[in-house]
Amino acid sequence: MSDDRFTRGIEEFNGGRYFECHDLLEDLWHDTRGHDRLFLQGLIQVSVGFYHFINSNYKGAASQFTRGLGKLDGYRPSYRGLELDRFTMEVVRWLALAEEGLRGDVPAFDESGIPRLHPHVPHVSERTGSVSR
Amino acid sequence: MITEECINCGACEPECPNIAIYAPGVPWELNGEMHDPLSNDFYYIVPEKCTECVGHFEREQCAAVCPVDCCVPDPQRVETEEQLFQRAKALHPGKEFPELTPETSHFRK
Repeated sequence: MSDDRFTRGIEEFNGGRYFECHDLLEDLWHDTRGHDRLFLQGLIQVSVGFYHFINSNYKGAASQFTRGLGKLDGYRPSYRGLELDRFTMEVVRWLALAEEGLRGDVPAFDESGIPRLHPHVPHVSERTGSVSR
Repeated sequence: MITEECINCGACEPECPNIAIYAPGVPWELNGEMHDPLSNDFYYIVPEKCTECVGHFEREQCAAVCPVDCCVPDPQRVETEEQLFQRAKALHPGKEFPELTPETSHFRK
């Protein structure tokens, strides 16, 4: 996605600024139609999930993680240059933590463990030289 | 209604044709009378002013602009198209409302 708002939104996410990430991607989502739209909404919902989690709103976090994961699932293993397999697996772990919070057990967590969105690196097979994406 | 998934971005507020959405902690108004806020934590929708966009648009505009999906029908307050249309007319006494169509009622989709 060549739109500057996408790049900046990912930077905000990786910097732990989840509200700002949501703001930028929401703006882009309003202007987007087609296959990218649901992908953006999935990213927004995961970002909002982390915003709620950090603010101890575990109900909001669990719900947004669930919604976001459901959308991003259709874009794995990678989309628009982002690695999504490992990322979504990590989000599932945070969903479990949010569900702990919902049961009343305040989850122990380290913000530095929140996953980041990394570029997808295509794997080049040593034997055949073929590239898997 | 707006659920606690709301991130308070305020995108929904200007979209409401009935001015039924308010920021957290802001009193709401109807017929010149002021009322206490329904929420101090999240944006909220005043049920007495919400028509689910019946009479105005094909779907609820708050939900259409919210990627968080937190503007949802209140399961405790299910209303008919006719009730909502009458409310739209009462809220906008100077406006002519033509017969409802799929473009002005989500019930007709």
